[in-house]
Amino acid sequence: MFKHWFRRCEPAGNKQGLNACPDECPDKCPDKCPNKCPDKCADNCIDKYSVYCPLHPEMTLDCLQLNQTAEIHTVPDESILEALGFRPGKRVCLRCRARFGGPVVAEIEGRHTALARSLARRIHLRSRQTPVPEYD
Amino acid sequence: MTKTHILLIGPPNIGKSVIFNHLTGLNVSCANYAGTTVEFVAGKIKIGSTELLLVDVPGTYTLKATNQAEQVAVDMLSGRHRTGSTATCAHCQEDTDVCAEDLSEKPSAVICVVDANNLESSLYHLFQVMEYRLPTVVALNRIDLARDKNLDIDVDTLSAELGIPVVPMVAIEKKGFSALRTAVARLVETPEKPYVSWDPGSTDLWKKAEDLTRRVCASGRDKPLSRRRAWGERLVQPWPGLPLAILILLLSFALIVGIGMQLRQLVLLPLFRGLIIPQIVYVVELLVAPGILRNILVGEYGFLVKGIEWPFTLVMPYVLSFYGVMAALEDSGYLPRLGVLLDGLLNKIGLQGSSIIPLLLGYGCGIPGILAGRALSSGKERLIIATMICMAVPCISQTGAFIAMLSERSVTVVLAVFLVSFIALILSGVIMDRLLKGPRPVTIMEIPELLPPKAGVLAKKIWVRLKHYVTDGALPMVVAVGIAAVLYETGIMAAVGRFLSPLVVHWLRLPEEASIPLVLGIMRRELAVLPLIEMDLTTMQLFVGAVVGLFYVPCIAIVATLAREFSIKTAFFMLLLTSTTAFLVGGLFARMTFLSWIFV
Repeated sequence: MFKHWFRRCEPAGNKQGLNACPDECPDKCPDKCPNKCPDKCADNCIDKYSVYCPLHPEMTLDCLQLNQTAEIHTVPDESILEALGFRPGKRVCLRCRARFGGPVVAEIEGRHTALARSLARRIHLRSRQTPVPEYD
Repeated sequence: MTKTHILLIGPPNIGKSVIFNHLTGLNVSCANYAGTTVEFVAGKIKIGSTELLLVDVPGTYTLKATNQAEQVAVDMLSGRHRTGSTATCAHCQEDTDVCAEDLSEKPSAVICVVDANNLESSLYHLFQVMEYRLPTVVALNRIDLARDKNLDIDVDTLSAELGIPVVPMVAIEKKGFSALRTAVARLVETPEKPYVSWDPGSTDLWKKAEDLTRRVCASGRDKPLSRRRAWGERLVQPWPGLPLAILILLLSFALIVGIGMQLRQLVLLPLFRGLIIPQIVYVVELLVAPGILRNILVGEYGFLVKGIEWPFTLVMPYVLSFYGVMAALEDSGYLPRLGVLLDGLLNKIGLQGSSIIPLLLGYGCGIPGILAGRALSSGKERLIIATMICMAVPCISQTGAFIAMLSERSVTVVLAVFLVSFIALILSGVIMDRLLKGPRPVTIMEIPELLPPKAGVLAKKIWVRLKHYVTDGALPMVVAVGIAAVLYETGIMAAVGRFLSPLVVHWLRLPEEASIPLVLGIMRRELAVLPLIEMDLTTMQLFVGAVVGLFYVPCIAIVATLAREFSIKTAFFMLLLTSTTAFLVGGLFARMTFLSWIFV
């Protein structure tokens, strides 16, 4: 029971990991893709534009599932984020979400950083993801 | 300051201060989290036959001068740092013969510390340093951690690509220092400016750093996660991190109190009460005739009796146990993890997770706590932390005094005092957050590697703290007790007692002589409590005395620190706030007679 309480926020049941935690990842999907994707989005569109596509809702760092990896697309302009490895093209893995509305812990190339969720929400990802095995 | 100097520069938390301590033989504080060095420190080093000055610059991720620490680093590199600028040399507040207040000349060389464990971002920092075209040597530190990640760095290729010498090191294990000394000596003899092949300002340094990292790093694939790194991750996860955090904090508290009590009862008390103090009393009684002078020396408040007994038997054991436990927590890299776990809660009082570090340091002594606040991002946070420390965080000397005074009466009263302190801590945070304007902080915190603390390093840290306590804590206490003895014997104390009696006797319901600690407490925090031990008080009165002592004026040294860090106005405000709260809360508790039923 305790274990469950501590892990309460792990998103479950959603394979894509999109909008998995409804409290944290509001559905920000606009009606039309601003990148002028056709209604049925071609797969390569995901990699190219990654966001704002009705079929592929916007993905931000705070929406990743635990231990899931994705590629960074855009990062807010903070020099410290750059220095900690948050740069476009880097692969980032979400390691945990702290309780009490605390930060998320993200890993880039073995380096762990705690980021406030509001900040994590401003880090956009490319949708291509590969799950990595959980360390145990 | 005309002596040539060398800068020690690099990103935060990669061992600059460890290298500095080893090269200079000094003992600046080192810990396993970013922002340990908040002021620059200078020390002498001997390279060959020449004596140089080595300056440890606070760590910065970039050199874009976007915050105070980065500005200091940029000023130092370009030789613009002058007396009176915002950053000061840590030594100038202490009496050492080394001081680098005015660094208005360009450094003759730079030791740029590069983290093998996070090579890419360190190289980016190094490229920025190289753009200043100063003779540079690279100390490639923490290669052991890189190997643990299965990363092999080709040092020769790296050196050839950069065109500057690169020395692989494991500073904490004292490896690589002779090579570093040789490289620095060569650089000082024949200064060679690095060749900057790119166009500063218009080159993407990140891309350059990424390319170079790819060329020099051979990464073996899929090495299983070492146990150390796996625990490093586990401790930051809500499960099992949170329950373990509670366990670790309880264990730390138990160790501090337990070791402190044992040290006191089994070692220091018998040593001082049974051996040293009787000898002193014997000698004084032989030499000095009965009278005021003898009373001042060895009488009731005789400063050769109480002045030795209090600092060395009541307070010192807890100083030792606190700094032992704290050193282990600091060096392991656990504190930032605790910060992440508690970040959400601390956010509710306007703080971020990393502010747990200054708060915990404040439990040792308020001054390092307030100074460590410099690593926090906003002025609002710093002021909240300073208020919390002044109001509700007892320093370790005062904690020792509380335990000595109250534990023999009842455990519940000790717990009650700490509960009051904890509630006050939360309340002062919440109120200050509401009162002060400013945005809520946004957490960005690097989580350092979890490292097992090294016994040798811990022992050295405790030793340094102990020396510091004897010179800066115990000696002033002896003097303060001496002054008290004079005031007591000359009758001035009685007059002060009569003057303060409406407050002390009627409002706080304490005996008249309890005004003594109120006078002494201005000098040192624990002296607001210790004299009460000698008075025949009820448990309830002791509790009221302890609460008044807890909130009462932070010691003179803290007030001075506040004035320096913030302003005289802030220091005065804090003085007023703390003493008013002390008397208000103390008086209220004195009227809660039902409490005496609990303190059994």
